[in-house]
Amino acid sequence: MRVEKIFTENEKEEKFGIRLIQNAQFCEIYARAQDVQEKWVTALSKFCVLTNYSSCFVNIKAIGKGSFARVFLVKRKSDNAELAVKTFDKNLLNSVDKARVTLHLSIFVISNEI
Amino acid sequence: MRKLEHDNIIKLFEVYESDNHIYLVLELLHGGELFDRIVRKGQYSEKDACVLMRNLLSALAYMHSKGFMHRDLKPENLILKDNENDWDIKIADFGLSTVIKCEEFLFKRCGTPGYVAPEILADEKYDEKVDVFSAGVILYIL
Repeated sequence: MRVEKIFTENEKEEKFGIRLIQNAQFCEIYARAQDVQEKWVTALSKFCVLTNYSSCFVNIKAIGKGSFARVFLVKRKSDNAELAVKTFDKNLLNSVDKARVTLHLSIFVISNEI
Repeated sequence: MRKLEHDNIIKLFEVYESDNHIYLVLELLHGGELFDRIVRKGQYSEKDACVLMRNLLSALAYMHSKGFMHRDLKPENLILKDNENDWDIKIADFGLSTVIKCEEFLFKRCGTPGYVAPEILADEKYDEKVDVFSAGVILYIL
């Protein structure tokens, strides 16, 4: 399942919504205030896949390369923390690798559900 | 994998997906692969190898108790925390890891030749003990 914030720029009233997406189906939930919205996303990020990578991190340099993925040293914009990010290019994965990455992601989800 | 919290297992913080990429946000380690450290050092002392193996086996016991097996343990997948010592390792690269109780994957051949347990090569049913075999090979290399 993926989670993302809903942006409502053109409306008169500011809203603080999140969208939960799975297999082309989604549901939207609105919070009363921005800090509640933040808390929801933080809590859900432990179980869900997020979508706003490029707005949260800046890649600094490549530090490693595996058979399926490349590893980057990155900086998190919010607090300048340095982290490692393993990146898979979906276009370069063949079907076997794709299955493997999907398995990887499903393990990630399953492991959090236990 | 994010459920796994152990000092000797690399921490996964968040997962992002965009149209073309999948991103796994992990903790940053400075020591490089155990593979390169072995090459640089030439040989581990018995004491260093002993502490390293204790860390590795403790992490394995932990992840097995949580129902996961790694299936591709090797010095390239063990990352050292920093350059201060030669034994503070973290298990990384869970690309082949799987849930132990997941029957359909337990016949699948996987791993890296040289580290892989005989029961996988023989296409027999196997379990989390294949990780222990790989750990043994790593100890032998040290």
